[in-house]
This record gives sequence, C-alpha cells and structure tokens, in this order.
Amino acid sequence: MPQVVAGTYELKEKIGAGGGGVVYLGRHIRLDKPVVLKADKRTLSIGTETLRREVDLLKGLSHTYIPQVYDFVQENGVVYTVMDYIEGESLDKLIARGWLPGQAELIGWACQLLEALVYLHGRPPYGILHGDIKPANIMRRPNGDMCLIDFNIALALGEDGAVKVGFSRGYASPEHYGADYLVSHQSAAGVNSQFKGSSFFRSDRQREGAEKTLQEDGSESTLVLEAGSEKTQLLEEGKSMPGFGAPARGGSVSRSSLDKTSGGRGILLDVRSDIYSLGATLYHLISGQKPAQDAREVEPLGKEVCSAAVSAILQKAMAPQPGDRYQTAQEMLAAFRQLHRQDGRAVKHRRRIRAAAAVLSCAFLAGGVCTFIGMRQLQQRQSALTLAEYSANALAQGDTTTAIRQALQAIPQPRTVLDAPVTAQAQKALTDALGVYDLTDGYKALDALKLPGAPFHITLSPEGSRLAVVYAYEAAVYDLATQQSIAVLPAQNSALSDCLFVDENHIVYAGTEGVSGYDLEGQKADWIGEVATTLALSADGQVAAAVDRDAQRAVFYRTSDGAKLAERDFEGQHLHVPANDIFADAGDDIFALNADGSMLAVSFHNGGLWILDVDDPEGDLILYEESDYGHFEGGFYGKYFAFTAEKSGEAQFGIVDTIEAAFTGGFSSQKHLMLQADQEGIYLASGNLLVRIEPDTFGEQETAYTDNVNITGFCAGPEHTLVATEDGRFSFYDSAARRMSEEEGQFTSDFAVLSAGYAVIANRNEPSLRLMALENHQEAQLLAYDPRYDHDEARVSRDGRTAMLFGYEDFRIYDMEGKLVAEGTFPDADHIYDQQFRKSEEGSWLEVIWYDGTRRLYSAADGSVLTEESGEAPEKDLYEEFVTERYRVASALHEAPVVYDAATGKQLAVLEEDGYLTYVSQTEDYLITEYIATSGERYGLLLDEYMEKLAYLPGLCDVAGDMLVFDCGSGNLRQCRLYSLQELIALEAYIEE
Amino acid sequence: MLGLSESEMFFYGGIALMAAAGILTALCMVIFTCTGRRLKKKLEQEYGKPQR
Repeated sequence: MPQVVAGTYELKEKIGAGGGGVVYLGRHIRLDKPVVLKADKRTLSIGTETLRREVDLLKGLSHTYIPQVYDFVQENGVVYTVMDYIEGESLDKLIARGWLPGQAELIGWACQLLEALVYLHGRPPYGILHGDIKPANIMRRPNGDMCLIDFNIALALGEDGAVKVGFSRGYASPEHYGADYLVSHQSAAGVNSQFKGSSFFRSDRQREGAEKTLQEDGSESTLVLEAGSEKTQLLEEGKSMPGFGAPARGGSVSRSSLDKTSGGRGILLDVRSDIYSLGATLYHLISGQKPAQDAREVEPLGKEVCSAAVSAILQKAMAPQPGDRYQTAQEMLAAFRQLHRQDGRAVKHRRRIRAAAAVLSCAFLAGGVCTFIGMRQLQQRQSALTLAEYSANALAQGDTTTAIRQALQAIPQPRTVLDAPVTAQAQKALTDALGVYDLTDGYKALDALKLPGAPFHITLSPEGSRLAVVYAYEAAVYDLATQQSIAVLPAQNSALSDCLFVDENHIVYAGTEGVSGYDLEGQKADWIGEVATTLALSADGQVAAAVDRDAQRAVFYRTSDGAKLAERDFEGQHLHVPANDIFADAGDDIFALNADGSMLAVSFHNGGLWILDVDDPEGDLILYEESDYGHFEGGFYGKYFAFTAEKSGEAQFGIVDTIEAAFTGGFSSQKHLMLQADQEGIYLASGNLLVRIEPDTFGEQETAYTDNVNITGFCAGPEHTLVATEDGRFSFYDSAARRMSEEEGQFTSDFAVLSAGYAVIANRNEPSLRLMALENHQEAQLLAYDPRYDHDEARVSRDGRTAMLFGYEDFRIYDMEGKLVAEGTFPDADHIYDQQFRKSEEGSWLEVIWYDGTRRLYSAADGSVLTEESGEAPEKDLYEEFVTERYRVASALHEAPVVYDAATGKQLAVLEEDGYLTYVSQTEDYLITEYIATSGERYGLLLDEYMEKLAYLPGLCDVAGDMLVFDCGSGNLRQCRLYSLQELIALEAYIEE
Repeated sequence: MLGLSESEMFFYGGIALMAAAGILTALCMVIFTCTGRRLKKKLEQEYGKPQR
C-alpha cells in the first residue's frame, strides 16, 4: 500500500535522495495530479517553524523556469514539501550520457536560468538565493526549456533564521568554502569589505542583520559537501569539512563559530555566489569538464570549446573574487543577450554603416549646400543680367542716372561666398553707363528728366544753361547742369502756350493771369500783361509779341518792364487754332519777330501770310492775302524772312528781303520741307538732306546728310547741328557736316533743341526729356592730326614716338606733338591684299602685302621702305591669325573669329560676328579685339577670360602697353587706361559726390 | 573647365554630389543589408537567436 501523506498525497516511488532529503514522486489524490514530495532531512536539526517559513516563501514563487511549490505538510515527524513534478531529465544525466549542448543552445539555457535567477534574486523583501546551482539541480524539460529545481538549500537572504549555506564541489563559489577561502585570501581584501559593495544588500543595516543571523544561528544545521561528491549534504556536528580544515563547533559556518574554531571570519553569500555556480554549471556543460574546485585553478575555455565572448562571460562569472564577477544575474543575462550586439563583427559592421552614413550624409549635405549656393548665384546672375539689360535700356533712353544705379545693383558689393561673381554684362553696363571709354567729342547722354505731363514746347536759354518746358497747366524752368527745377509757373490751359527766354535769368511766358515777365533769380514776376498764349521774342530780347488763341490782334511788350509798346490788329484774321488746343499744338503757324522786334511775321487761318510793321501799318508786307496753304514755318534771319508754306502734296519755300520788300527767291517741292530761320541762319531740310541757305546768293551748304532715312526734325546751332530722323535716331553733326555721334531713341523726336552745351530730345506723347551734354576729352588727347586726312587705321609705334595713320591708298606719320613727320602713297593701291601694323623689339612698321605676293615693310618712324620682297601670292580667303601670350585667334573672311588656347589649341569661344576683326591684343587677363563694322565704324571689345564682353570701346585703334588709344575721327588720338571694376565703382561714387 | 561658370559649377556640382550620395546610399544599403543578413546568420549559428 502506498503511503499517504496528510491524507492528500500519495507517495508512489522514491526518485532521489540528497543532502537536503529524500525526494518522492507522488500524486495528489483528489486532483490526480503528479507531484513531488520532498522529505526534508533538516527537520532533524532545524525547527519546523523555520522550515515552514522557508517553504512559505517558496510557495510564493511562480516562474516559468522554476517549479511551483504547493504545500508544506508534516507526517510522522517528517516535513514534506510538495511541488510540481517536472518532466524531463536533469543536466547531470545528460552530461553522464556524454551529451553536450552546442554553444547556441547553451546560451539559450543560460538565459532561461538567468531569468529564473533574476526572478529569485529579486523576490521581496531581500531576494532568494538558490545556493546550490549545479547540473543535477537543473531539469531539461521535454520542450528543451530549463527548470531550476531543488530549493532545499535555498536561502532567503536577510530574513532572520532563513539564511543557510551549502556548496557542491566544483560548482560552489569560493565564498561557499568560507574559512579556507578567507584564510587563503586574508591578506587580500576582506570578504566582508567586498560584500559591503554587493548590490544585493539594500543597506548596511540589512547586511548587519544578515550577519547577525549567521552569528546567532549556531543551532541550525549546515550543508557541507562530501569530498569527491556532487551531493549536497547536511553537515553533522563534530565532523570536519573535508578538504577545508576542522569544522566549526556544531558544524555552523556562522561567523562566530568560524571565529572560534578556525580563527577565520564569518561568510556571507549573495547573488554573486549563484552567478558563480551557474557559470561553473555552464562551464561544465559546454566543455564537458567539471570546473576545478578552486576558482583560481579554473582554466579559461579555449576557442575550440566556445567563442571568446562566451568564454569571457563564463570567466567573469567564475571570477574568484565576487567583486570581479557580474554583480547581478541581470547583468550576466544582459551579457548573454548582448552577445549578438557586442560581437566584434557586428560592432565592425555597425561602425561601417555609421561611417558610410556619416560620409554620405556629409556628401549629401555638402551637395545641398553647393546646390543652394549655385542656385542662389544663378538667380543673382539672372537678376544681374536683367538689371544690366534694364541699365542698357535706360542708357539708350538717355537716363544715365538710372542706368548707373541699375548697373550697380547688378554688382553686389561687398561680395560674399553666397553672391554670384560679377557678371561681365553688369560690368559692361556700368562701363557703358559711365562712358569711360567713349572719348569721342559730342553730345553724350546726361540724364532723363521726368515731367508731370507730356511737353508742348521746349526752349533752351541763349547760353544753354537752362531749359524751359511747357506742359499741361504749367511752365517749368530747369537748370541743365543739375537737372533741378528752378521755377514752376502756372500757365494757360492751352497747348499753344509759350515760354521763352529773354536771357539766362528772365523768361516771358503765357501765365494764367496774362503774359508775364518772370525773374528766375528773384523768383518773382516782373510784370503781367494781357492774357495770351502764343508768344514771340525779338532776337535782341527787347520786345515780346503776344496773341491769345484766335484773337485778332497782337500786343507788343517791352520785356524789361512789360510796358505795352504797341498793338496790331489782324484785320479780322486770326492764327490757325485747332478745335481743341488743350492737348497739342500742331505748330502750323508763323508768329515771329525780327531781330529788333520791329516786324512781326504772322500766318493766318485763311492761308494768309503777313509781315506786319509794328510801328507803321503802311509798311506791312502781305506775302499771301489768302491761300490754301495750311502749314507755315518761318522766321527772320537779319533782314531776310524765310518761310515754307505747305498744302497737300506741295510745299513752297521762299525768302523775302524785308528792307527791299522783295522776294529774293524760292522754289516749290513735292516733299515736306522743314525750315529753321533765326539769327543762326536759314536751314532747310528735305528728305535726308539738311542745308544752310545763304539768302543773298541762295547758295546751299550741306549741313547734315542722313543716308537712307528722312529727317523729321532738326536744330541748327552755331557749331553743331542736331538732326532727328524717322527711324527714331538722332545725330549730331559738326560745322563740317561730319556726323559726330548718333544715338538711338525709342520714339520719334518731335522736339530737338540744341544750344552751345546741351541738347534736348523729346516726344509729344512722353512725359520725359532726354538731356544731352556736349563733352570733349582734351585731357585724354595723345596727339592731334589733320582731321581732313581720311584713313582706315591709326597705330602708335612701339617706342611711343610716332603714330602712323594709313589706309589702302597712303599713310601719314605724326610725332606726338602732332607734327607731320612723313607721308607717302602705296604703289598699285588697288591690288593691295592686306595691311598689318607690326610691333616688335626691333621697332614698328607697316607690312603691306599685294595680291601678286609683293611684300613691303614701311618704317613707322619715318615711312621709309625697310624691306621689299616678292613671294607667293596670298590666298584670297583673307584668313588671318592673331597670337597673344595666351590665345590664338583665327579669323577668316565671312566667318566669326574663333579663339583658341595658345597652349592647348582648345577652342575657347567664337567672337563677334558682325564685324571684321582687324587686331587682337592681350593686356593682363583681358583680350582686346578691334573690329571694323559693316557700317565702317571702328570699335573694340574688352573681353574677360571667358570671352565675355566687359566693355565696348568706340573708336579703339591701338593698345599701347596698358593704354587704350582711340582715334576719334575728329583729328585726335586719345588714350585712357583700362579701369578695373573697383575703379569704376569708385569713379561712380566720385561722380555721385 | 566644361565651359561652366562658377555658379553653374556650384549648382550642377551640388546636384551631382547629392545624386552620387543618394546612389551610393542606396548601394550601401543593399550591401550592408546583405552583409548584415549574412552576419546575422553567422551570429545566430554561433549564439543562437537573439535573446530578449
């Protein structure tokens, strides 16, 4: 009959026995569930209460890898602990069979066992030590999981009366051996002192409590290990500890007993003891070798057994000194769990990934930064190009202030790394706006003057320092030098209103209260006459004539005080007044005084043209009583009155001698005639020709010729003539009818007025005036030559002593004083193939090549023929090459010149296509090319290293050293140096000041 | 060089650098994924499945 314990458990068979007691396989009778009952031998030596307390503690445990303790019963003086029956096999049996786990499997087991230990060590209040971890106390379940069994010596740390010690040889930690360990390590750090550092004890008080328990628990049984056996047994009183010297009295390993018997010191176990035991167990499992009893003699595992990392973990777990081991099971568990992560190969792999990520991120970031900078610079460049274009447009309209401002906006100052390099276009715009390389004489853009309204009339003062303009409701006077307004006066609400200069400081204008004399200096009206719109002033400025719109009489004033000198009745006639005179003056009428104001020429609405004698009506001259002419122009030149009268398809020109009262001559024309007759002379324009007519001889002198475009307006001055043409251009001619300069306008120039120093261009529909000022650059003069000498090129000799002017017919040589040194003609000029002016260290000369291969060199010093030789006839393609220090420029007829790198031969750029390249030179990093345009104009281009244009060089004829030489065509060679961008900016600032 | 201005060099160079970095990143991802898997396999052979 099976034995029944406590009426609940049936003992079926004995399945084991050890130091802790006998283990039975039993069955729960009511649940019919297999259980394990462990008859605790310690009941012989310890109190039942102690056991109960211990088992109660174990009953509270619940973990996957430890068995569940259910009950604690007593039967016949034997205490049984009832727990789960764990199926499977203990690891010692596996070892006995010679079955060893692989490293991977071992790590899995280790982690499970460590999890169990973490659980046990973490049980409140102070944790539980297993105390006897060894292969025999570890079950391997059928599913492969581990189970930590046999808690018969489990220690509830810190609980009074519950701490016990025991050990199994080879698996027990050095501190299990107590006295021997301590004696042998007495000279080393004290055990207690090591334990003080244990993380297990929450406080010194707890530690002291635990120590006290050991000291006071001399009656409790103690577990000792039999020599050569793995079994854990209770140490009986009076027996010695095999291999460890004499036992303490009563077999206790308490501090007090050790102190008394062996002179050793008390021993405390902690979690590190379990860690050692587990390490030793794993060591045995992986190596098949049971670890040495003495921890110091444990051989580290080699690579043939396990990996170095696992060996290191085991070595650390089995360190003789507890302080050198893992301080908690959790720490050791983490070490196993970190095996993957801490492996050298994994570390290296991660390091490579991080390095690659860092490098690639940096590269991506750098690329992003570069892209951002590039994009910003491209935007700036685009903006600069736009501004440069705006600047060029403003300059074309004569608005140099805006042109310079916009060019400067296109040049960031100061430039940061985020800013784009200065574009060549911006620099060119600034250079053009400043006009530093334009050394030609003539009228140059001064500024654009904005008006409140479109102009009706524009007049310049006699000396040209001031400008009067009439627009809607106002007459304004400006100082031309400063472009500042001097006076703005209310004017008649009529486009017929006039404003005329008496002198530089006095004007007569059609004011709202009447014709007024105004003092510009005093800023006050001198006098006010009757209301009038149309005014005329005698050339001497003494008399002013005024007429109001369609009034039938004219009133004459003395300009000095406004005294009314006379009145003349038009006998029922009046000027031709448009139906609406507010917006525009058709300018169809003549209303002009002669030089002294004694005669007034008036055209009437009925086609009549009269010359009224102010003082004597009997002296009136009636040129046309009435006629069908609708448009008149005319004025007085001395005693002569010149006029044009036009009707549809027919124009009549005539000159009348007012003294002789005789018609001196005239002609009719099918073309539109434009006339200017004043104290400067009589000028008549028709088609593309402007001539000055001598009234006494009726001789004509050409003043301007405008090629293929018709003249739409002009103004002849004492020295220069301004001519506007139908293509929107306007040109300035000198007294010899040579075109000085030509400008391009956006609109037809309805107003073109000129004085000694200034010119004004305007359109009836645009509320702005284009101001131009006469410039000369005498300070830049290199030498003067006879302006009548027609030539193609001018070159300065290398020594700078002479200049050679030459064409295909002949040449002249001047010294720098302007003295003609030599001149000559080329034989057989019609067959000259090419001319090249050469400079070298030997000197300077003109090389002339004829089609038959003849080649002559003419000295630039005296014009003598240096050499003459015959050679092969040149190719007719006019191919030329220009070589500089850095570049080679190939130029062929009808093809754009191509620039090559002189060293590598690589093509760099294609140059200007619309001009014929005549010369190339290099100064510093700049390439300077010289051209002849199809129009015959000579010019040069300053190119940067990218062959982009930095400056237009009008009239450039040579580069002497770092000086640019310009042939201005007016008998002057002028020079200036190359300006850097900073110099240009500084120059602008200087001008601004 | 290449007929590009400094700004264009910055812009196109930056884009090229970013593109190259992107391509290399993709390439590295493939390489590191492959080598990582291989390494993981080796480590699992040695240490078993990663413990949690």
